[in-house]
Amino acid sequence: MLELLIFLGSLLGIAAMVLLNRQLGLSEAAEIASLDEAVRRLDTDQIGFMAGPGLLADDRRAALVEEKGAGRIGLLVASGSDVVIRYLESGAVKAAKMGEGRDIHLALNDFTFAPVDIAISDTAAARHWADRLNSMQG
Amino acid sequence: MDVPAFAAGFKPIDWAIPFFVLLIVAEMIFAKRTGGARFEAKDSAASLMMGLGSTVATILYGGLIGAWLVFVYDFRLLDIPFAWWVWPIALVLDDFFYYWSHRWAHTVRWFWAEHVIHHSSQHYNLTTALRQPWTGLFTLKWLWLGSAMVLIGFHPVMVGIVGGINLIYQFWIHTEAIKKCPDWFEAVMNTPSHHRVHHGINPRYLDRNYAGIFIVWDKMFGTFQPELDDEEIRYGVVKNLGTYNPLRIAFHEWISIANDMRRAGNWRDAMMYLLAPPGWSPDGSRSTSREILERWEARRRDNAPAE
Repeated sequence: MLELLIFLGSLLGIAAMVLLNRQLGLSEAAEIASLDEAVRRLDTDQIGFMAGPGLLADDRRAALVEEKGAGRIGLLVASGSDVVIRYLESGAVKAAKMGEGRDIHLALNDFTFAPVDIAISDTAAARHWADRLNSMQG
Repeated sequence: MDVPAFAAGFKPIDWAIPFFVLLIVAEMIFAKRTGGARFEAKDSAASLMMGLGSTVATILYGGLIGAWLVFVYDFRLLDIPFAWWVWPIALVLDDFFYYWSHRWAHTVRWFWAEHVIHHSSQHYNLTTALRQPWTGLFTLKWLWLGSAMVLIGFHPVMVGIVGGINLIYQFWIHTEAIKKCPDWFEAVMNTPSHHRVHHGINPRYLDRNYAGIFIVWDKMFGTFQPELDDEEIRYGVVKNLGTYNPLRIAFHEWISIANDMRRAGNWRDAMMYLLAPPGWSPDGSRSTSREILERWEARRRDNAPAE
């Protein structure tokens, strides 16, 4: 019984600390400032990433960059105040669906990467990238 | 051997928890006032839940490990008393074993599967210190490395207490709020600066500074790397997580190893997926820390101005 009370008290304590964290406004949503920044991040992360054509999401919360010669796509997604990167190869994509608007809803075969909506206002570009991503389904 | 009354049932970490909470709150206020520390609410929540889960896991399997240590104690090589002068020796020796346990936790994927959890935040603040694994039982390190001091002759209670003190020491070094400590302290002790390097994924920071309390082990065994003014640290793991779900955080590397072993073409590759350094793959399509560093150094050489 005592252990259960301590456990519940700990949960309350955690909730209080997270609430304080939020109330203080300590985190700022991450943004990818430009496609150049996306390429720079990929090059830093994967030394020697040879960037080809790319796309920056309208809300600057995601970017897709082709890798020259390798057939991979560098995917950058803002997650909270951080950016998470994946290199997509054949078999990496579960589904890339066009949303009601022009967003792409992307799910990977990677359970450490939550599905993401990539905001794209250009319908043709959205269609192109959705097709490209779907070609990587496994 | 009789356990002294002050040591029986003494759990240093239980006593430290209120101070952990106070220091986290203080660091958040510091972050708000100065911008000298970074927090993300979801990341903090995940780290704190990992800490709570780790405590629950330890309660669940702690009895088994305790029983094993009592069993091993019957085969001890020496009868080491609970004398006052034994405590500092036990602390230093425990830290020595911690260094090697920690080093192998980074260089053997089986052990990394547990330890990766502690590195899986892209933030470096006091909540990161509490982002602890739940699966220590599965590494089986407690069967041998974790029993070494008991086999030498230190009482399991003493080993438990100095191990707790080691973990408490490591709490305060998980911060960006403290830049550098006095030179003499930086030379001997593990500090926020040294441990920031340990959590960095910059190529020249990977797999450095394994120390718990005393940084001298890294200097002795060639794994020391000072923090560099011109190298901003990127925290996390080489393949950062895109989830804050504690269950996924806790088990992701174990599942990844199981999948790799299942798909391996032969027994040798399957065992290498388990025992080789993280990032090993039979076709070289992934990169170990050493390979990442070699690529980085090669590029640095290529970009160096000709003399």
